[in-house]
Amino acid sequence: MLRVFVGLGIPLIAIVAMLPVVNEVTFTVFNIPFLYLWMFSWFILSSVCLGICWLCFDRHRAEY
Amino acid sequence: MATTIVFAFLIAASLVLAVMAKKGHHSTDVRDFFVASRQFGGFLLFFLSVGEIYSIGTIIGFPGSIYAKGGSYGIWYLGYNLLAFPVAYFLNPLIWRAGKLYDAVTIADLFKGHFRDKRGGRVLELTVTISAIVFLVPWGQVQFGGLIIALGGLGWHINPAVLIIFAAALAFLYIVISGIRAPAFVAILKDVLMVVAVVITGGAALSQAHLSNIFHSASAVSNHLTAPDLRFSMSTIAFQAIGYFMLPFNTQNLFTAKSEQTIRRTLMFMPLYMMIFPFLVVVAYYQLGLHAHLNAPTGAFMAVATHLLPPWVLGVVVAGASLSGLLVLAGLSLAIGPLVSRNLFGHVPEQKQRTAAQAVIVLFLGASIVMTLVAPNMLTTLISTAFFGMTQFLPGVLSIMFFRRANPLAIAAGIIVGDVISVSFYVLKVPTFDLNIGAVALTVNVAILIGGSLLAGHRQVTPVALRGAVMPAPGE
Repeated sequence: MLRVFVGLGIPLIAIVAMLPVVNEVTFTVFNIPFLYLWMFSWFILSSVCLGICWLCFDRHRAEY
Repeated sequence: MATTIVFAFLIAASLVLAVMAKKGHHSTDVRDFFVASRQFGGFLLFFLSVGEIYSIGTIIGFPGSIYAKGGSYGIWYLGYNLLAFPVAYFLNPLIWRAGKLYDAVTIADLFKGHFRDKRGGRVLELTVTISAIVFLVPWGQVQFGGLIIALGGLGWHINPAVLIIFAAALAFLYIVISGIRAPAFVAILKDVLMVVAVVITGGAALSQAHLSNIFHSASAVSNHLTAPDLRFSMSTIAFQAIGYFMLPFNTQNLFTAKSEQTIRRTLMFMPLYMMIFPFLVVVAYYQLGLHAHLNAPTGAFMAVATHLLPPWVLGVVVAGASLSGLLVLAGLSLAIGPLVSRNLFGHVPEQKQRTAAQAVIVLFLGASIVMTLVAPNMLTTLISTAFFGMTQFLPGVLSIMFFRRANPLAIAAGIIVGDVISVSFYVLKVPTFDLNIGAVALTVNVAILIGGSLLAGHRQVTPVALRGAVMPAPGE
């Protein structure tokens, strides 16, 4: 269950559920809207979530 | 002139690659042609997958839609592309397992295999096959629409219809040369060129104006999602992310993988490839900030490239963009071929199957071309239209994995009703409280599937996820 939460739950919350919250943030870097900054950072963070899933749960599965 | 020479050279190089892809694999087996005998490791799988995921709809359509609809419109496009990978990390190994179990080449083979002993299995197989082919037409339309714009960068001043037919012929050539191995090898060149094209064009925009100025001068456009925008974006992100690998060519590419572990390893890195998107956002905002009027808003990316780049570099950009469209067209044809020969006409002699497959591919390309010319639409809208139909397969696929009592006729009825609701709501513009139309249809689909299965419930099939992983055959 923890595996699914880390790999799917966290990205789902960040990308979909948090959208109304992220939408209200007015912080910008180089005038780039926060909505875009948020999405861009999750390109990397989603990969990190899946990486954690792989290293902690899936790496030792038999190679089918 | 320099633009055309560089472009022609790169396209020729892609054809050489396609020929090389065939070397050492002279098998005439249909499974090799379509799923490369399930031999692809992570490297080729990565390129084949991202090669067809990031089509011309991304490079041309995405900046075009931001330009046309305003800043925040791009958010749902980023979101669904991104969320698709975490979904796939958990779902795709199971789809692959079912594919292996039923020796599947197409998504319809999964249903055919799972319900082969049940009444209604054939009905379900046909339902999936036909609606898959129909909802691929808008996807083909995206490629042709994008190709017209990309090839426009060559400045040839010829009729778009001629460009389109030229493109269709090229796409057909790749697959005639060597089946799915050609797109996989050409995908490497295409991905390199596409990244180069995007980075160069984004870089050119950045060299003209400082990053903060680009986003400042475009600040007239709204960067804030309204409440209806939010409902649309959130529902669309979720709906299209779960439908991602229901697209027949994505499923088929998935079947080329060597193992479930290969799939997980590959998917882990896929989100990183999205780092090309910030460059596309920069390009779109740069064009917005110019406040110049574009006749075709979809052309924002090429407008920036044509405006800022020297001719030979433009040739590289046009080649990169075009290859991304051509490759996907080849992939679409490769997805349709076996849908026709295995699922639509599986019972007729092989020679006739082949003729039928080729006829349907030509018909498909023709339909896409006609739709492109007579009913042009925003590329990103067309992408969403394809998902209306494709995501309706998901409840059925999940049933194969997990639902013991699933009834094939109930699954088929769910898909048909889902398709009909999506299309009629879209055409008649029925208000859905700004939620994605396909998502609304999907809830009805699921209700029919579960209700119908429980009512019908007789013989049961052990779900794939409960059978354990498939062991490799000896010698594999």
